Amino acid sequence: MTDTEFNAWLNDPTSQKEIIVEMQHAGGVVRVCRQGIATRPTDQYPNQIIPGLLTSTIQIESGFNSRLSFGGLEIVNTGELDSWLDFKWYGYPVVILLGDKSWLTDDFRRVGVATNGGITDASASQISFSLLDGSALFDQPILSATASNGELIPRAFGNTFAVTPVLTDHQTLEYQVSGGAVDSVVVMDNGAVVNHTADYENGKFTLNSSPIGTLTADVTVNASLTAQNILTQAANAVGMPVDGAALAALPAYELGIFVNTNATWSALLDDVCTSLGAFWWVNEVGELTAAQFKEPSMVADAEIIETHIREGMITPILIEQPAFEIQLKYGRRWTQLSTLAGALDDETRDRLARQWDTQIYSNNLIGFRNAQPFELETALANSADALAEAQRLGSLKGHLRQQWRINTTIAGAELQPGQTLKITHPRFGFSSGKNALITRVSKSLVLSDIEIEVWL
Amino acid sequence: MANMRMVVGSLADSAILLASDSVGDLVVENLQRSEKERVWRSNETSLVTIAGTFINPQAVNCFVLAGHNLSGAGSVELILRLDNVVVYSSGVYLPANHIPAGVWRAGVDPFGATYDDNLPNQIARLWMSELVIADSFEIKLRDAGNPAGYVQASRLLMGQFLSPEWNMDWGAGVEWLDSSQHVRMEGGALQTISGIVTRQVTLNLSHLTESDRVRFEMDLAARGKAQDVFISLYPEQGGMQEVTHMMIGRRQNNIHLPHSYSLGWGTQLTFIES
Repeated sequence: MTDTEFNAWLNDPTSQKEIIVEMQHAGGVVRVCRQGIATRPTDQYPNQIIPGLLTSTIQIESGFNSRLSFGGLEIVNTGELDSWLDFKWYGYPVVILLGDKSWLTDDFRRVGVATNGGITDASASQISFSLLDGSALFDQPILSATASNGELIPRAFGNTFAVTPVLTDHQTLEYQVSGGAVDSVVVMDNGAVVNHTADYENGKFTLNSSPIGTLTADVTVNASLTAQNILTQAANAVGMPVDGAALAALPAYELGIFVNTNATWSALLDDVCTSLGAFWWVNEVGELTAAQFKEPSMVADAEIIETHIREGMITPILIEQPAFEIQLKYGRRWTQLSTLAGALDDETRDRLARQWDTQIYSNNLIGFRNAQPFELETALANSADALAEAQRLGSLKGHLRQQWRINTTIAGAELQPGQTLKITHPRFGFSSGKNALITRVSKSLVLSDIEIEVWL
Repeated sequence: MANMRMVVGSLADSAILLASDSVGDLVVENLQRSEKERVWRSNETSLVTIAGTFINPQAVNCFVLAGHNLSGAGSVELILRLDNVVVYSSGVYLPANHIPAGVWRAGVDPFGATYDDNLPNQIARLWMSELVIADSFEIKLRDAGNPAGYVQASRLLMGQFLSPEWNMDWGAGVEWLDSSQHVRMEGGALQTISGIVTRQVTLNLSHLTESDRVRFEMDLAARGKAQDVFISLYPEQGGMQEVTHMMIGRRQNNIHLPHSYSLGWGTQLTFIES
């Protein structure tokens, strides 16, 4: 079955949609569906029964401001599945397949991969499971190794400024600035550069004498580290595949992040994506993906017209006021120095006294009495990238913007946040068609009920 | 015309079944289960046999094989034995309800078309003229030309049918339940999201005799809603009327048997297709 044939079936509200859920547990795999299937002799699983015990319709929701959600999983149990209560479900994958009951199960398409959150409720007639999206994997801390004094060994990403090294050997004055190899380290005592003996392969250096004041370091680990690099590192760390095309489309701004707390990979991904006006999530097939919030493309990925929209179900949900000024902060100094060495020049003193550098972009707005400034703290490392992003945000926030919610019956399997949707409707200024950025998609797999939120 | 009949539960559920052929998980014991998807399947089509042994001799006057995929040329044969002696044989018969000449439309209906073709759940049934005591049975299915290349069925019911002395009231009938939803679109068009079509049978029995009442209480009410019930409003009538007014379902309402008049009892029944 081709993609075209599958999508045609998917967009046909009269098609008989069936869901097969494959639930892995520590001891094997079980399958359930909604209507019950006896597989055919030519099926990939020949002459088997997939019991029709699933009562959930499966609602998959993904968006810029939220994690992927699958809703719950409810399965009828009249006693035969009592043994399921003893199975080890938590953390194992749940694969959601969609197709027509009359098809071979070979032709069913994978439309979602969730992580089993375990049994949440069990009664005489039903077992309920929670489904987690793969992003839960990123809720583990980045750091685990500790120095002899118990402090966490930090980790530097990209270009970081004024980070605090961890003293790993007070006898030899050995310090560590990152858990892996680093490219360069500039060590400073109250802001003044001091000599050191490098052990960059291990992210360490040694001082000749004890520092007088506060010891900091500018650390570089891959000077041209981008969001794509960091997201890929995070995915590798938790063993998740990436949506390579989506990550490659992110801007190649140089970043700098220093982690010396129990911060999670999830928090790191938030910081990275916020810095470039992007959002990350785990997509329906279990890949880490991200998309930048940007102007809708000139060429739409999909089109919707009034005959696709449910009656009365196209409504504006927010009118956004423009920002008269973008204040974009970058080049973060990770340690604030209260005392500075006397030999520093004025420019260096000024720079070290501030936590951030700032790029400002102004919009020339006329007639907007409630326009506000927009301030954003980022992990951007250099002024050129910060200026580019400030200009981009300034353009995005340079005039009135709208958010709309649309309910449609087209199944929209291909619709994803970050894509551009062309909307044509006789009202609301859409009569000639307008392109809008998809920011949220919520779809019921069997009811052909799709809710889309767009921004334009 | 015979009065409406129903078979509650199945004596075959407690029998030991043995099939001459079955494949994968689709074993013959699935015929003792209610779920439609739990079918028994055989790759043998020219002749496949299901043998059953009752734990104790049973009185039988009805046989139902539901959810089968026999083609219009497929046949069924039921043999009942007591102490290895044949006490009943149906002979080979075609369970399909062929569209008769005069109704069959040349060029429109396929050659050999049956009324059953359009039903979601095909049912082969056999009513016996009298109760037969048997301790074993044998079902022979022949369908060498089956287009699927296999023979399957999902439910086997055997037992004694329940039929009131006075038939159901006028007004009894089948309601086709369709969970499809109509959706009006912004452009004015109407779209329909397909649902599942099942049937519901509702009937009133206003003139039950004392013996009817006892049997309805013992055989229907006391056995609960979980029992599969084969119900036929127009048994042995033939044609589309009989086919569309028979199904395997479960009772939906509670049994209430008011004493309506002297020596007369009544009840209302609703069954939903399983």
